[in-house]
Amino acid sequence: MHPIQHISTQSHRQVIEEAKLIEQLEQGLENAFRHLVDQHKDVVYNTCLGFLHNPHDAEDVSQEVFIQVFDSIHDFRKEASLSTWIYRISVTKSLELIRYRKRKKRSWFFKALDGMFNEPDQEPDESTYGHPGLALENKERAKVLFSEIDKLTDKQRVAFTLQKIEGMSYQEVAKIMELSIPAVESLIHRAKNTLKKNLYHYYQQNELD
Amino acid sequence: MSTKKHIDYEVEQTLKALNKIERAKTDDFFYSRLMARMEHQQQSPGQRNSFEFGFALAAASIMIIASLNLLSISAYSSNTLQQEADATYVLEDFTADYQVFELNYYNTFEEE
Repeated sequence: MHPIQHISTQSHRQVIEEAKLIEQLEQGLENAFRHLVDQHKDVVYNTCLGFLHNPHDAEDVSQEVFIQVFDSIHDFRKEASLSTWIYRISVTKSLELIRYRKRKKRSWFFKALDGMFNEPDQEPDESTYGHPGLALENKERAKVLFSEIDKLTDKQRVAFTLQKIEGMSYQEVAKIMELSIPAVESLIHRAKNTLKKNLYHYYQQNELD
Repeated sequence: MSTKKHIDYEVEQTLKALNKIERAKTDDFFYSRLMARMEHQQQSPGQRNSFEFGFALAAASIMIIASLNLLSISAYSSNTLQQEADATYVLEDFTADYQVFELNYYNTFEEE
């Protein structure tokens, strides 16, 4: 069989399988949901971890992602693939938690209220900060880099994280972010330049100290 | 110059820190924990809306504080108007009693 024909047959089979899976999920079949979770849990967890840099938070948000997938599978428009949709939810949920934490830091009033009405696990766990996939010798440098990535704009951060940590192609990032490929290229280029500049400033200050 | 070189080296090394990052994986009990959380949420839907409730309470508190402020401002301004009116009334009363502005006051002497 010709390789192109083989790939096209394979992707066609995947589309049919995905359509079947969505249909079963819409019916609320637990086996289908379990299959979906098993298929995507590592991808979702790794994506969340890329943004949150904390295994505990990443696990928490990953669970929220699958709960949302389960609750809103009827709203899935099938314009993109199921995995692209799940990626989008993962990115949105991770950014929501980051924004929520920033808001909380800004306002003591909301902090007091949240303390009264929310569960304690919404506080960041600084002791487990980092990424378990990092080599020991890179942990300190990665910590510095993560803190600079966190200062990027949301779009630059998403594009850079998906491409660098998730190892996605520009095309895949463009699909998830619903942008054109040149727009993604430009975002990543600007993110790299900003990071270089900020890291230079960081090391210059530390050198002086 | 050597400092600049050193900083450039540090920047390059830091940017490369994520190059050999391994993919993180969840453990085998992820699905069990997820199911437990979903069941817990179904059993106690009230807790699910705790953030919304907290936000609604905060918004309501702000509204109450704002309306109390408005009330006190309006009460203060109406009080001031009342006080001004009272002061005018007292002055007019005083003037009437002692005929301070009696224009023909000297005329009455002349007539005498």
